[in-house]
Amino acid sequence: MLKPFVIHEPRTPQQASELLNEYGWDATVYAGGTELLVVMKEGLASYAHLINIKTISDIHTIHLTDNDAALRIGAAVTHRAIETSSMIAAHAPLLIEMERSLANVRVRTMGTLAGNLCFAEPHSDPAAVCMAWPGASFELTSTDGVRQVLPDEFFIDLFMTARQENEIMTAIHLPLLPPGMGSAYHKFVLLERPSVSVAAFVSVAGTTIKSAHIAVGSVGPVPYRATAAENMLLGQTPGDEPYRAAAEAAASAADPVGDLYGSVEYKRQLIRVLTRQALQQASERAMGVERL
Amino acid sequence: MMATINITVNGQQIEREVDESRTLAQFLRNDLGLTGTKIGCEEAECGICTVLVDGVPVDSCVYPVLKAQGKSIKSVEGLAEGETLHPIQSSFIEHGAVQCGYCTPGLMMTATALLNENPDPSEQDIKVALKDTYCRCTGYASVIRAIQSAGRELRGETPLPVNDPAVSEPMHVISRSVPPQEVRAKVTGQAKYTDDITFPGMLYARTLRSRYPHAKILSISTEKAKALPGVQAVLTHADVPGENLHGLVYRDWPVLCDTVVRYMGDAVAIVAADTEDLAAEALKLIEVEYEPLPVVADPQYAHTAEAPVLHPEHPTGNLLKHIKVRHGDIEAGFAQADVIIEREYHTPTTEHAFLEPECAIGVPAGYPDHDKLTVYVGSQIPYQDRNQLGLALGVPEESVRVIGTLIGGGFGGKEDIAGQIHVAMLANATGRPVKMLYTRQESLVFHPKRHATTIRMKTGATRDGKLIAVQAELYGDAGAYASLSDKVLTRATTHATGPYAVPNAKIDCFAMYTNNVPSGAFRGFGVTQSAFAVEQNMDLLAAELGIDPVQFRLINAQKVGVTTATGQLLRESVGLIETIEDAWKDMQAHHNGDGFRWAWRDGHKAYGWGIACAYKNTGLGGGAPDKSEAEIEAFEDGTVEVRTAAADMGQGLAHVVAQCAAEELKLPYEKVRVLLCDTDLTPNGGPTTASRQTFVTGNAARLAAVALRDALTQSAAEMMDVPPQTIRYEEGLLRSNGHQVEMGRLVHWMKSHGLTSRVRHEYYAPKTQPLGSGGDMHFAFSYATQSALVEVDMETGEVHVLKIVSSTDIGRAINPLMLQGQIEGGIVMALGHCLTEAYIIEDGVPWSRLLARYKMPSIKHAPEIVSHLVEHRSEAGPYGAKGVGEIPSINTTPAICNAITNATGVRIYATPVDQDALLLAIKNGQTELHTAWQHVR
Repeated sequence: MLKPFVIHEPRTPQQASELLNEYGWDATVYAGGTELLVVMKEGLASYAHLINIKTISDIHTIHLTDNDAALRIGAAVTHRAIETSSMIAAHAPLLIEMERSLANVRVRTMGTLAGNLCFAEPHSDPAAVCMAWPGASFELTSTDGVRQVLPDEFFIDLFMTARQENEIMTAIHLPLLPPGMGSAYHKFVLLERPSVSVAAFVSVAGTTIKSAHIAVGSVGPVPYRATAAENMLLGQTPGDEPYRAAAEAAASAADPVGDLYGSVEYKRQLIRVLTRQALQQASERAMGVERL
Repeated sequence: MMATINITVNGQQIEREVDESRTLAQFLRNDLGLTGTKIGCEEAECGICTVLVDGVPVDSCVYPVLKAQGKSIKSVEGLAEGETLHPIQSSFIEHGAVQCGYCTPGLMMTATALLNENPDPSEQDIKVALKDTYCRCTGYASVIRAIQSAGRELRGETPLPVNDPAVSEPMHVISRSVPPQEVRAKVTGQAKYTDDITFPGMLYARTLRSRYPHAKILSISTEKAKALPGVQAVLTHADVPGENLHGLVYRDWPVLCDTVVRYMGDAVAIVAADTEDLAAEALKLIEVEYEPLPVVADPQYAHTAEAPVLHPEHPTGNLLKHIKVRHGDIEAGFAQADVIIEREYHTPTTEHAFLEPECAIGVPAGYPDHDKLTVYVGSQIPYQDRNQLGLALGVPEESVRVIGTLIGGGFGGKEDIAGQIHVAMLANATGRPVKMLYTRQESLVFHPKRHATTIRMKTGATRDGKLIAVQAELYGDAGAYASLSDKVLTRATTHATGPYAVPNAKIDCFAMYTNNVPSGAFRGFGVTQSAFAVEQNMDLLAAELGIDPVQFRLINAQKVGVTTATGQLLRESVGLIETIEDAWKDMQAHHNGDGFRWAWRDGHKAYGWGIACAYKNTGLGGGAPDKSEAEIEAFEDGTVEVRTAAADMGQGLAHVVAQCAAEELKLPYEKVRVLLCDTDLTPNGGPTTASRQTFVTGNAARLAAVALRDALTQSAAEMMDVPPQTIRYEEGLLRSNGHQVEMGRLVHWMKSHGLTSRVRHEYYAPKTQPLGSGGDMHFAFSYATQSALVEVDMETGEVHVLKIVSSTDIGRAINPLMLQGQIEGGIVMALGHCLTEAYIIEDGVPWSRLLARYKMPSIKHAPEIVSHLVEHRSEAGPYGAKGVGEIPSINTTPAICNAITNATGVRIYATPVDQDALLLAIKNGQTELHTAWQHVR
């Protein structure tokens, strides 16, 4: 049962920050509410003041920035808006793949990408994708100013991020992938959320892998970068063998816990399978077999 | 805090003062009275509360109404344009996609949003769009077809043809797919379920439940709760006026616990207050002192000497009942066996997850329009509710009236008393109407579930492939109270030979009390569990004997002339062999002449077919008098009404009785109305259980109509002055050699001559014998064969069911399309039990207390279903019909498990199948898997 609350409607990020300063622990940022209202209903959290950031005007758009080298996705942009955006289709189609399989259509119409990231649920799809995305950063705004935070600094623990009490996330910056880079996102879903997810970005020049970014989500409190696996791939020729080796490295780097999503060994196996599949698809896309 | 909201709802501008924390669902339902939007879980899990906000679908249960400021809302009530249904509504009706109707608004609203964006969705598009929008009745096949058909209509194309199954000899209305009763109300949001009903001055009630699975109650203090302003009554065991016990078979379940609590769902106190929030607040102020007691969590432990005895008054302690089947000579049987297979199987507790949580309203005697204390409830057994109300309240049961509302799914889970007695007590105590709606979370903890079982099954056969002996021992977890455990586990025991000729059998079942959630009726009624063991032993034996599994089943299949393990000679209506042949034909057809294969590999995907058979009794059986009464009345406007207290929880009893009446009177189906479940207005149709209603109440309605026809014929003969035997019925007219009279005019004539056009008929089903006495334990059995085609990912262990081929002998299809819906829904429900569902309870404490923690199959799990009907008429059944409600849920699980074994080489001994453990078994070359999903944790 929902406890009574008041909804505030700030017009600017600064006003939102002021409200957060004013009400402190009694207030929280409210965007889509797909996670927040459920935890409030279940009595896991209780806030008397909800700061509805959807009333802030300039965080609703998706546009190109940095001389058209990056996408800026406003914090109030919903999953559904990303899923159906021609801008995203043209410049970051991987996001559409990810969004299409995220939760269900009602969550996507209400929920925002920024809200998902700030909630920092360990099984978040966007967290894994952003973690791997080369050059991705999150824009946090408060009365103290604006700062950019990298994903691996942002995700601290389950349900815990580097966002300060008085900050709101105002945008997500995603650099466009350079030519010769391909991306893929693979996950295994048993319950409502992924058991394991793997995002991979691979650059190939000629027959050589120039860079690899691999993030594994859902198995720990926050997604992790499989750096050993990434390094092993540098200079290699794309193919099943190096991908299997990298997948093995990504699996050994995991520190999963056994739960209803799977046992420790099973999660490692899923990391192996999904990493190999993601690398395979990302490199095919990098080499233009498939464009994404 | 209050705020002003300006929104458009279904095209109408609305301005209201609302509490800021009100959800859109509450606003629509409570403030605007638009109760078409249903609430199923309050967790944003089930999707049935979906409405459109500016065209996009949202979960209205977690959407604060203030967020809709200035926006346009569309709910199910806004779909139709005046009297003209939206194509999504008409095609849901047309394609049989509406059963209980409770999830229908959510499905239709989600589908509408999809079609607005993409009027030509593929099956995959529909599965993506409707993911997490649950339906527990239909199995989704008809829903997908209805959405595609509506899309075609919206695009200006012809709608899809209805996937009406082939049946023999359609009659006037029988064996024709007429629309279900009240279906229009269900698709327009006008249908009223209990929570949709309100009364002026109504109070809201909540129940305080136990804090422990087993504890002594030392004291209960309600003073603080009573002192809370707005609280109108707080009642405990001391306030129960009659017997503080209820129960359908054994009266062992306290209305309100006094000295001891035996499971987490036990009710300790009840509160009625001005608002739901206040009632919830008051619960927190009730002080209960407990002394925790050791918990009996395991049925086998419950049977040991050291286990605490949970019901000291029960003569056999924790052993609720030992059920025995003895047939032939078991020793001699196994001595003749050339091959013997003995294995142990485990099935978990599972949850009905009907989408409408339990709700009851008590209205005190003397309240306007209520002469008697009245309880409104969506119950499967209204007359038994009345009986139990009378006993608990200490009043003659006739002084209480039970009015059955529409039911948003039951599946056996709405047979026991839930809030019925509590609301009656609170209505009496306060003098005001009182509504008690369980939260989904409360429903999960409270209501009886499917029995968890451990089954040791030993099956012997001779070299020529004939079954010779079956010995089995079953342990069933009855939980804290008996509920229907006796009957359910009797069915598990008597059906433990499977639908085969088995000359020697010795089967023992131990129904054990524990401190777990009670177990009771659930579609399949125990047979689901034993079939899991029987049908896998069948495949093991076939392999050992080197006989094809299809052939092995054909050799042993029950047919007319076979005597069952309970000593019943089967004399008619045994269509099992035909169902096996149907399934086998389709399995071969799937391979388009390439040659049938049981299993094959394609890269890292392994494929396999599996087959399993089933049978299920129709009716109570076991010597219980099985009867139903129906009343029928003809009116001057040419319509008739059939009245009976038999529940329609979506399975379609209402249209069955209407069709029977229309058939006998040769009336157009639309001229027949049905009034169900009002203990003051409708005679007793008996419990909706045991797949009995089509047979028993169908017959009652049919014979009542025959009696009415006789009365009408007599009068018409007199009125027209013609011999009665010359009178023919045709579409509402009575004709004889050039004379004719409309039925309505005839009724007018009868009334003016002091004759009645209302008759009742009490139908007794053929007599049955108790278990152990031989003879007919049941008056009919339905039979089925299902084959499953599965795909197993050998890298992840994931199992996909690609196709189910089903053939079911139901005697006769009264309504082929709706009957097919029962089959499709039963299959998908069983698929859930096989692959995803387990109600997890640890040391008596449920972990599955959120819907999010109970994995039901969603539309993405829905396989292709090919369904055939076999119609071996049952002589006593109405037009030859037998039961269908349960049979489709029985053999899906073993069919899938046999398929998994064929695909991977690993046999499944515990459900639900865990991909994790399956993968490990595959990798290690194990051939047996005893670990289910819930064991991994």
